[in-house]
Amino acid sequence: MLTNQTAAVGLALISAVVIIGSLAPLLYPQGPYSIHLTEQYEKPSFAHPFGTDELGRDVLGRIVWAIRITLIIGIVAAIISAFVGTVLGGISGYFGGWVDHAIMRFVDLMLSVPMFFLVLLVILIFGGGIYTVMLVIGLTIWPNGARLIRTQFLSLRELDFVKAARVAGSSDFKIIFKEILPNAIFPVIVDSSLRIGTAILTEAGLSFLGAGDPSSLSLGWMLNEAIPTFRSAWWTGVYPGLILAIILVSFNLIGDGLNDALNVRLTQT
Amino acid sequence: MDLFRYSIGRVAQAIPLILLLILLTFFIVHLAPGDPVAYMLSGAPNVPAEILQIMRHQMGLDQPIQVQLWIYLRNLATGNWGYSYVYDKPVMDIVYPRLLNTLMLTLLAFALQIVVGILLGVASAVKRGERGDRLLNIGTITIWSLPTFWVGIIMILVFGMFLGLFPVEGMVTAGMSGSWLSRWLDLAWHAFLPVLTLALGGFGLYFRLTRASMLEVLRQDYIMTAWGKGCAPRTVYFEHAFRNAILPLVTIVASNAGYLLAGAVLIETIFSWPGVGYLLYVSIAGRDYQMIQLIFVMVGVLTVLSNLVADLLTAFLDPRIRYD
Repeated sequence: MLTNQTAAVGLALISAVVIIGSLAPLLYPQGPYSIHLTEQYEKPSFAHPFGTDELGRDVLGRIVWAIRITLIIGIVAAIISAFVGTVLGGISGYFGGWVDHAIMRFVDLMLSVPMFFLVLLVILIFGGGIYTVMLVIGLTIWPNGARLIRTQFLSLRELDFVKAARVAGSSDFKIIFKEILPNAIFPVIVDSSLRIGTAILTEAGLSFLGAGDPSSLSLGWMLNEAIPTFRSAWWTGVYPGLILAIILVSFNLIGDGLNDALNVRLTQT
Repeated sequence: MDLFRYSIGRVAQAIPLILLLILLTFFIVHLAPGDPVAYMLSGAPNVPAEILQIMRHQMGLDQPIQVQLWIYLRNLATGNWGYSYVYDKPVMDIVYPRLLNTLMLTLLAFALQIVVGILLGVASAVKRGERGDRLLNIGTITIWSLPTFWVGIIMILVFGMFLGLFPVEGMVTAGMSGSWLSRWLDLAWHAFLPVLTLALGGFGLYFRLTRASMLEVLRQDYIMTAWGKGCAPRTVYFEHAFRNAILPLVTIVASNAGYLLAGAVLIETIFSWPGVGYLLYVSIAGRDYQMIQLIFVMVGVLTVLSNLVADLLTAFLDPRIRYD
């Protein structure tokens, strides 16, 4: 993976972002909410490299803190979706028959309904705490991963080592998780890295529309606050979005690089 | 099984799906915590309980939920699609003009995405491995990963504010009068940035799909036969490869309508474009249940229909599908 240029670039970018985010308490110990009403809407300057917002808060400082929330939400949601997708896809691919049919129909159903709207509705009506957001996003982006896992299981279950395990008396459950899954893990990883991107983008979109987590600051939320003023105070919109874009681009580059590596692997087997 | 019977089967499948969507929307909206009447009166102090009761009764909210559902379904069937208590008008009166506005943006962007995506995808497949292809790939991934609402912000700032080339918001110049032509041009001028932003966000998918599909097709034996026959490159690529590569694209293209609308919500908010997306956003914040319900059902139905069209189209183009 390190030799793949695309993935390497993505990895470099996201590492930079993660490092900056984790250094937040060091760089801006006053936190993202320190208000200085005497310094409202200042243009980017040496003291405030990204300017200040409507309450005099330093934009760069807020960004550095917001990186954490954005990344955490994305990663947790992606993990949830990987979990659900792997379990359902694994069961579907392994057992086949009507189980497979039923699960795939469910997957089709989920893919045919405009999920973004459903998530928007659920969150806006039931309240948008950070855990709700992570959970709901995780529960809606898993279908693609499930399909992938299922395909993997379909091909892997015919191989000899599975037959051997069955003959040796392993239960289906054990076979799925101890035999097949470790071999199917690479596509799961590839898909998960792309899912992180999707999750982060979804959360950003929701926060942007005001349907996110008002109490914890994410990059999408910063963009939401910038809506009324970005035409004049451009730095409130450009910079948070720029960091968000860098995060998204890096995850997609990584996923794409991994995808290429995966395809090479598949064509070799 | 012939095409006709397959079509009937698929249409029959779509109907329960639509019903399911209607039910789902209804339950989510109505089981939400919070009382719309209380919300509507949240500014007024100490409203007597009887008045709240009367309002609830008028809006039919004091009935048990099954009764409400039945009334809702009956209304839907008879053409009464809801009354907005926020706008004080039937819901369709508000939605209909905005629907056209949204469709204008969405369809234009859609067309642009497809055309650009396919062209670039073919070019990338044909010129595979050359340096331009690698750059194109990374470039496309980058553009596609960018959050559309941020791209919209950048567009407005760069082309609208700094360069002053395009309007920064809205659909028409306020208070404009003039000839039919000048009004159309004004509309196009306002629509340019939103459409471009929407298109940029989505063309990446078609690019990758076309490229992957073309590469897959170009590996086939019949392509080698074509080269061996001495066909000109143009013939090989367009008559043989492209036509076959296009097939899986049709399904994806037609079933992507749902995502397009989601993007439209964000773009409309940024550009203050008076469309359904923006309306939905405002309605959710204002607890306008009937409006929310109708928009959701519409979006859901549109998505189901576009999936249906995708399936039928694919079945028409590829006879193998019908025997599944």
